[in-house]
Amino acid sequence: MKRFLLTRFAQALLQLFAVGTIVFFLVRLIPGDPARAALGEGATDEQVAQTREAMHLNDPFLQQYFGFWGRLFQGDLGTSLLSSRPVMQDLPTRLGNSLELVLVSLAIALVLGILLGRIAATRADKPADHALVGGSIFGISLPVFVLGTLLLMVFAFLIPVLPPQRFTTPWEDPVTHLQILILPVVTLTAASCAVITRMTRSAMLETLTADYVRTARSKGLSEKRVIKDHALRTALLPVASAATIELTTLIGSTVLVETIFGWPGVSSLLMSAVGQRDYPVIQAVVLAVAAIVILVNLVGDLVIRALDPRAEEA
Amino acid sequence: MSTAELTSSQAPPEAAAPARRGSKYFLRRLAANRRTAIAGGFLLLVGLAALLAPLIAPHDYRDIVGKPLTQGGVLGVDDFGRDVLSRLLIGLRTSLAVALSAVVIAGVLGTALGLVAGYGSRLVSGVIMRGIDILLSFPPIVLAIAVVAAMGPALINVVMVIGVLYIPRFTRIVYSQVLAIRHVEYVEASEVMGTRRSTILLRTILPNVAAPVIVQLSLSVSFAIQMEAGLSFLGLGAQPPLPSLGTMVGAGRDFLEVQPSLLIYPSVLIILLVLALNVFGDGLRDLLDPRRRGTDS
Amino acid sequence: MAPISRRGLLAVGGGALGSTALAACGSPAKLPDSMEEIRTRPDRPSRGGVLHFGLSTDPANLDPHVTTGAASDFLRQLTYNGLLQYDGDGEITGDLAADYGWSSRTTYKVKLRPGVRFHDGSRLTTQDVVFSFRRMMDKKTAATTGPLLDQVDAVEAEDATTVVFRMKQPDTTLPFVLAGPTANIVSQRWIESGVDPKTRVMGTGPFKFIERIPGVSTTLERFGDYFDPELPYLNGIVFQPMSDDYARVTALRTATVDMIDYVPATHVDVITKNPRLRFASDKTFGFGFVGFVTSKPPFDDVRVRKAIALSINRPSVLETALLGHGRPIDGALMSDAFAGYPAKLDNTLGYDPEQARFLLKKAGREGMTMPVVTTSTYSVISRPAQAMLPGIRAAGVDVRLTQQEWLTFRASVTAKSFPVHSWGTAPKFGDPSSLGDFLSSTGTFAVNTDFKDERIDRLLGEGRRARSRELRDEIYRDVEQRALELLPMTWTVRRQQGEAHYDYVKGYRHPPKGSWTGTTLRRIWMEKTA
Repeated sequence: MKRFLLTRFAQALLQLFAVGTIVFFLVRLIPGDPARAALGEGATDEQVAQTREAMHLNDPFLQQYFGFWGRLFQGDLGTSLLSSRPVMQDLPTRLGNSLELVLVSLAIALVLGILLGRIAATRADKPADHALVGGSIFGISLPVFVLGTLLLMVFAFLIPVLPPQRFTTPWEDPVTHLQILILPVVTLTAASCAVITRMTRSAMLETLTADYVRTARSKGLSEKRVIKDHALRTALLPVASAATIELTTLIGSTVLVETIFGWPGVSSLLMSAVGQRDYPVIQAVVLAVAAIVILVNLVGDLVIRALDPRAEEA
Repeated sequence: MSTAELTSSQAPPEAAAPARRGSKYFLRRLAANRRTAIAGGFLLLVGLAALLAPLIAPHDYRDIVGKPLTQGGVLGVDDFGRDVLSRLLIGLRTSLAVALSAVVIAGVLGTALGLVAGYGSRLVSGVIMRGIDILLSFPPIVLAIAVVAAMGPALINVVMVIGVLYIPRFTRIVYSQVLAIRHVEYVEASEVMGTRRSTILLRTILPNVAAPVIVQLSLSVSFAIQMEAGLSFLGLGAQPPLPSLGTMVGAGRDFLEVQPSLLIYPSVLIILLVLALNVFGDGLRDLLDPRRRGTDS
Repeated sequence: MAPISRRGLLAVGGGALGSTALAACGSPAKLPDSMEEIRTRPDRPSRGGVLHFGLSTDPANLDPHVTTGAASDFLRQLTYNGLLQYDGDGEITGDLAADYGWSSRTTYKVKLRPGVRFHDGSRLTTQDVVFSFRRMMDKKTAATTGPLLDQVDAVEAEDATTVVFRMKQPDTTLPFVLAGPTANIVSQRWIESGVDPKTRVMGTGPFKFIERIPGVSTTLERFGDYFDPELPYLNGIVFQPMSDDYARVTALRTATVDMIDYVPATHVDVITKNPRLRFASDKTFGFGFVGFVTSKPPFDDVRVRKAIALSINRPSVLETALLGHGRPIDGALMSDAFAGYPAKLDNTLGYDPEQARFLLKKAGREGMTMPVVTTSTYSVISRPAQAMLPGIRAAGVDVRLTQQEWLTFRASVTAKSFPVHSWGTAPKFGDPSSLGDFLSSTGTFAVNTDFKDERIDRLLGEGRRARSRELRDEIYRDVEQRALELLPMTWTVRRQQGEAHYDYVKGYRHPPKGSWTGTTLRRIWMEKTA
């Protein structure tokens, strides 16, 4: 176990290094000049050249590359080329805003999905099951941006119960914050909840027919207990691994949700940084998001390994 | 390798047994499920419409046919005065073409990598699987945005990006399948008999991983359609005047009040298309891979 | 001690950057609720209230001398002052200047208002003014007005209240430059104290800068010691960046904000139909154009350029791309809002695909393929580009449009990697001399076309020096006419562009002519009882 832990950890670091390197070169491949972005439309070519120099964009490539890692090791994520704000000043808040969306959505999706999946599995091939299976396929088939746009249209204009409001932090005004949280969270939850429902249902169906569950039944345990103590618990394993995948998907989906609902999260920070070729900001954001994804996978692996005796042997 | 051997008790349960019984039998089984049949029929219809789009579209999708934002034609006229039905047909064609080509790329490359990783040396498999891990540590749409931005928003780039992004889906499935069967007796027997590795890989192992790959292909198309639509929605997909379903949704947003149909038609078409693909994919999985009934991925 | 934010904790929980998350308890600065209160006064504008303004771009760089667009100019003009400004009618008037004018053909004198204070309480001196202009003229600043001040030989403080501009040669554009939104006066002591003027703001304007939270808000608060004791009427302004057109218009319609800038053409109808909303706009500044790389075949042939210019169906582009909100340009570029508009050039370029085909045939370019690049980032640029395609196809040209993201587009245009680009912008200032940007061999936009015409260069030079109105009108008419003959670019449509606000927002005027300016925002008030 200890050796496994160390290898996994080393792998995670290597992954992070690869992501940082890829992003560093990828952003510089995107045509377009951050100096041009900083100076606006009417700037002369001479002014742009001057500003490039001041932004150290003409420094040798490798020098920039090692500088990036060097600063990172000292805990410095860099400074925005455009606003000259340290990335550190904005990243945690923006990341927090996005993670709030993602984690709230995931939590709801998990609770609701496991509940619905259990209902479907225990009523297999009955109307309730058919409705849930159909509903979950529908949920998976709703593209995030279509759902978001439609929700906004319906609840802002047709039935204006949730008009868009200016972004308010929870400690400023918890009620308003909850109100503006609803639509983006519903948009994000739909697909994930559907996936988890399906996952729970099929995993439970599988375990309900498994030998040890049959044994439990033959021992005279009530069906309720069988489901609760045996079937559901074992079924949660694949659900847990699905949840880690969903987390990654959700983080990706925030790009669309933040655009539609004007949520000041990390994706909108990334989109505007890409639009301005603000290299340090792009690098820091992608690295931070990748770190989260890698960490989630690492933790997921460890949890699954701890729960599942079969994984130990493999 | 004979059918008898494959269906023998020693074969792994994932063996592609039904696929070997002839396509007629297979189709009959598939059609037996009403939901799958309806979805399949719809997909056939949609596929045909997409294929024949330039022929059956009432107008050139680029031409001005009427006053902007009016009800002329079958489904109305868009903000540029173009026929909405014609654009929906061409948009459908674009979206399907992108999704299918991307998934084929992903399927071929992903399967090949999975086979090599599963059957290759420790080093080879380590390198491949770590590469897959790295690919997976980017949220897909974020990487797609960066790559499309770097290469320019052309359809071919979108195809390649989605193709590469979906490689892990296939590699991981194939890899675990290969691991599961590589030590099964008949594989080891072939090895002992001195059959060339590449032959074993293609003749023995590939047919056995085919079923989950086919299922994954059909499900991935639905995800690819959504991804293409998302990228197009953000302005990174099809280049105007060529429509895709995603660009049509993005453009339709601006006319929500004046002509909601501009948003609703492409949205509904995307939803139906993805829905049909998912239902069909489920049916396919139930048939090919009964053990994984109703799971995802 | 500030409370540890829940988001900060989430960030730690997420494992990201745990060590620093605690430092970021970034609750946006909120103006006290009491500021929202509005006091009505008989026969005078109401006092108080906070205006919430949805802005099309998040102003990243707050430098007083570098603009990234009209949206960020609002912020600059509310917190800083220039020497001159445009009034509500678009005429030049004093801002920090009490008196101003040419004292000789090459000497411009400005006498400062007395009693002007900076936000830190210090007094404005002529030395600050001199310092500000030296900063703009310093190449390192890359100031927007820098290149326009190229004829200034020296800026000097004559005495405690007078500043003198000495010119190398007569230059009629100087007052326009001084009234521009980035010719702002800064405090020498403040800049030299080592602050970063990109992130901090300290001027003499009617509002003080409180805080900018990227992606969320930029907050301004009333400056009590503003030199005009009546102003400002508002207690504060909160700008909220909303780059998505649809989101911005939705925010206004649902009263999330009181006012927005940059109403897209596709939403003008929705706004004008709402009885509670006002749309303040113009059809004179913003315009679209198609530029040709004139140094390479086939567009080195003026017949080919003319053929494309004739095959753009401008009325159709207007009707589809802008849904009718604008005007076609088939004659001179500088609109009739400017003095001396040459109306006789109207209708020079009507839609004529037959003539276009004929010209292409004569040039041996029948059925040629024409790659065009435009940007997807701004619908006001991409929509006209899309809308002109059917007309060009009718002339038998196989036109292929590529949409690129803004900075990629800029790089493509600079590198001339496409023979044709479709763009949109506005004249830099309200005088025909700004034609130079598009037509002189060194003009900011002209360089992308490799266009060089000695006669136009000479005329533009004469125009800047000419004193009499008649002579200037004649010169610029010649320039416009020659541009329509040589066509390094062809103008397409003028777009209606403006801001929208609720009817309780009073006193706002969209600049009717002259040049873009946001100064009327300094003088607005709200009649809301909230």
